Amino acid sequence: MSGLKTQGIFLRDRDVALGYPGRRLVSSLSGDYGRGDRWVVVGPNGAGKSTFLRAVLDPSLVQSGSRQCSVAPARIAWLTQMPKLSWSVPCTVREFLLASLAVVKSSWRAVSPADEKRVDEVLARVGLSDRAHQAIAQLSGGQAQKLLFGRALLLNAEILLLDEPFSAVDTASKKDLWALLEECRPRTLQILVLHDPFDIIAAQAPVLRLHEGHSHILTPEEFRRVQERNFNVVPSC
Amino acid sequence: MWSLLVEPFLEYEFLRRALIEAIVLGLGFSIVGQVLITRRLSLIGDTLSHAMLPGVVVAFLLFGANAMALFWGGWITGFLILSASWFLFHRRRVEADAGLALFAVFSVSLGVLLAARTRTTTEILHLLFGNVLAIDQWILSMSVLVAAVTWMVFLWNYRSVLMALVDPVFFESVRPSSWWRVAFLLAIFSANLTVGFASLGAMMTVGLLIVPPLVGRALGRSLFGMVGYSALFSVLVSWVGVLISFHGEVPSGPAIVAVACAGLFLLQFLRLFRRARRVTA
Repeated sequence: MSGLKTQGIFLRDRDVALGYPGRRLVSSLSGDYGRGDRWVVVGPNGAGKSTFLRAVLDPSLVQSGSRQCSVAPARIAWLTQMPKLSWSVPCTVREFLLASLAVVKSSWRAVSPADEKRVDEVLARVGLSDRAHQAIAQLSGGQAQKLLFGRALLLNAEILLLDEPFSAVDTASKKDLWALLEECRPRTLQILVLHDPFDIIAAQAPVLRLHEGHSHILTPEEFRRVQERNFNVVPSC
Repeated sequence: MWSLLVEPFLEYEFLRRALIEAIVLGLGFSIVGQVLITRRLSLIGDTLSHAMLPGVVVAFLLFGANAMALFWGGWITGFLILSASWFLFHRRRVEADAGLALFAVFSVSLGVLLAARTRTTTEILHLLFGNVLAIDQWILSMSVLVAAVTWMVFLWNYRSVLMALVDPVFFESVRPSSWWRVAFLLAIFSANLTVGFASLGAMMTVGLLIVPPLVGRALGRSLFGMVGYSALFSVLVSWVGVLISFHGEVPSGPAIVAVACAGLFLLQFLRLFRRARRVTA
């Protein structure tokens, strides 16, 4: 495992099949995904895009083949389109980050003044400083995404799994999120599930297309050409 | 006023003990109830109370009407049922309430079969629907211990509890459940409910488990605030409830729960009234 990590590889798949009991979604996935990589996963509904992301955290979804992950679960950040948070428990933005840190450190007196300072820095970095004492239930879709991104920064996440991160986000927040993604790109492996061709081209990353149980890889140029041919438009980003 | 509100407690020891028991129960329940409501398992207490029957019957057969034996019988059965449904939920992806219902009906049917063979059904049922005015000394001490452990665990792990409630997916992925942690938490849950059943009775336990935490949710601005308000409210309603039961010569458990419900309705009415005034102003 540690050998993989020293080579900068976070995830190694060899002929992996993913799915739920009684239902196989994707098979014959192979590849190395590592530090500095960004992948975009596309495909029609039900092709297994979200399962592909979920399986990084939940090995029980791997049905056959071998998958090695050299990153600890605490360093894997999962950013969904609509975070499944329980809004009924009052919790401020700042408290949310402190509690996340406490869960990872899991020791008595987990959060030190230095940690609190880091939390404030992260809040400033993702542009939520003025919302620090607001309840998370009052955040908009874009702000919730930024909060989850802030948590990923705080916990030094090495794998970022983003499931349609821009679907509930306005243009300004989207720009901020892209800037944050670019900033962490050298340190992290980023896997994004995207729908919008404009976003996919803006990602400037190889595209993993899942379709009817199979997968194939397109380079950014190939994807762009397919778009031109099918729609006769060139999205400019 | 003094003679009406305070003197009875100074005069009668059984009343003092009933008040202490109700307050102690309320303190533990303000945490347990909050967790159950958030996880949408409000009626787990009711289910579990019936499911404990076989353990209580067996304890009764072996040791007679001994509070300590009945407590252990109920606690162990409750713990086993919670553990089994937890296993189904996490390892076999069966819904939490469906798993619990399955084991609960199995357990109740076993309990009824056992009780039918022994012809002591009425006595046992009486024990299941306890009486806080005749509280056993041992159960009282046990209640204090259980509430103290519950609060210590809560305060010690406050932020982890918060994250487990707010973002369970993250919590589970970072801290995969170890069997001893799950067993410990289920034992605490089960112990809280068992001391409740033994002193207040099954139905009234559910009342005290759910109503004060609902008040806490209405007033609290943080998890700690919710638990705090809930604890304060249950102290207040225990006091008023026990007094009503004393002066009005009515059963204490229903008195406490009725006062709690009335308090909740009154509070929500006042909040509505205030909001309406703010809107029209």
